[in-house]
Amino acid sequence: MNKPTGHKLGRILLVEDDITLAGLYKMRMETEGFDVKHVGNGEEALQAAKEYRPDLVLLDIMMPKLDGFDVLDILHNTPALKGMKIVILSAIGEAEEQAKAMELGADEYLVKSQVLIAEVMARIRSHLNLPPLPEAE
Amino acid sequence: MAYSSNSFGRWLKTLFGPGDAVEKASAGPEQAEHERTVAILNSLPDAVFVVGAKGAIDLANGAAQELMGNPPSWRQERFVEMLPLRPRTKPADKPVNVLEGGLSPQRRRDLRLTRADKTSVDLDLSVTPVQPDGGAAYYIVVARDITQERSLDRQREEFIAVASHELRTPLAIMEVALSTALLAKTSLKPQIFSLIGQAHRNTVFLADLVKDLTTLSEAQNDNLPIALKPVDASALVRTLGIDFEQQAKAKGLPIQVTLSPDIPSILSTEHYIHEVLQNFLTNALKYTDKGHITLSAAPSQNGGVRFGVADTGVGISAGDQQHLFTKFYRTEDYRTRETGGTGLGLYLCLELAERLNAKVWCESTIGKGSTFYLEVPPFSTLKQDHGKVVEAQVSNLVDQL
Repeated sequence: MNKPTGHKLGRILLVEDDITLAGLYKMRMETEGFDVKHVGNGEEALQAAKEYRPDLVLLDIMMPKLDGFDVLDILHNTPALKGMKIVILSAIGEAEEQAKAMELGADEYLVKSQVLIAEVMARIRSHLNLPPLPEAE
Repeated sequence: MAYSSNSFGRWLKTLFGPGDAVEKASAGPEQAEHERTVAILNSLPDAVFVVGAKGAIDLANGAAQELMGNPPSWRQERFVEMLPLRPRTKPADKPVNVLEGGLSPQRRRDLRLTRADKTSVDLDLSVTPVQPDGGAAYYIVVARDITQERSLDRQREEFIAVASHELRTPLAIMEVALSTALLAKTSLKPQIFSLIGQAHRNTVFLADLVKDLTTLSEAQNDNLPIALKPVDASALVRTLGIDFEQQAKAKGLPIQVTLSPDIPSILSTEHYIHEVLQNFLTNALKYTDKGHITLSAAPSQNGGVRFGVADTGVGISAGDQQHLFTKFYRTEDYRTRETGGTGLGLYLCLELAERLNAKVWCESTIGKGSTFYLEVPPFSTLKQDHGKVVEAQVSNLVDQL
């Protein structure tokens, strides 16, 4: 596996309350050259967004304290964070919830396990205007 | 449209005829016929009411009397009071007067009867107005108890919703872990790499199965309202062409997009159309090794849009074509046998199409290729959702103003 390359490619704030999944996402994103900070609930996400200044937030919906919709709403309406991309990655797949997130200003809505990690990474690269990774053999 | 059948009206009138009890028929064959008809009506499991133009009950069969809680008197009582029906979702509302529709027949599955003893029953209700020639109109109301059916539906929906939510996180964990392990190909023994590869492919298969089952359950849920919005068919087809470009390029297949200039606008549910076309495209890619794939949209004869996905792949035998849209069907021909799919893809397409009142079919020649079609009407809706079409049309007009 490649060694993490610092934040050359960009900073990602990972908001995910499942520790196992969060650990794996973090490992994968670092392997692919991103700098990653992980928080496990909505309140910490707001704090981290201000201090860490991520280029992209990968945001879960079902979380303790503040849920993903609340976080999305606040982040999207914070002028200082303008330009920051917000991608939802949730286990909720209903069209209604997806529409709600898009209305609140999400850049994209991905459903866990229905979008493979390789595609999640490709979407992140695309949102950050990075060229796609060369095709794996 | 109301019934105007003279003979039917006369028949009902002689049977129960307005006002007092059953009209006395003279002894003899007519009397026997009359008794037989009453016996048949009383033996029906569905409740049958005949209600006069002013809303008073003329007749209630056995099941109807039971539904009202076997009251000591019901003749000429007001239907709305004897059978207080409220929308299931609004139990505190005033009772609904289902006879208000005038001479239009009605069908409602959203009403619940709550009796004086607090017991309640969910009903499937149909109201048929009858207008005899020269006589006063009356209504035939048929009510069926669907409490148990609804409760089973609810349990099934809940199970699928909970199961799919709960399965997604562990599936994602497995997929991310295995996929990330595979990145280390060069430092893995070939056998280990192959084993992880198998585990990864099957995790993806399981995730696909969960996705298909969830979508299927959504499509089969008649109680779920379908959201009708104007769909830009051309934009939808162009986006799909772009989405699949990479995958197609990887197999050396160009994707051609063919759009008629005169595609009408339709009111439908875009993500269902998207889902069906995506399934068609995935199949086309799977079964085509050389040539090209054509994605098209054109006006249909009924004023809607006909979408097509054509490939130059292996093709499907006539025998297999008949069963293609069946659940878990596997083709007989080894060349076209699906290996990686869930077996639900085309069945799901059929169910989604039915939900949109649309049609799906396939034309194919072995060795030459297949074309799958989806024909969406101008207004996508089930017949029983007719009111929603009108609502959507109105709100669409308002949006345009």
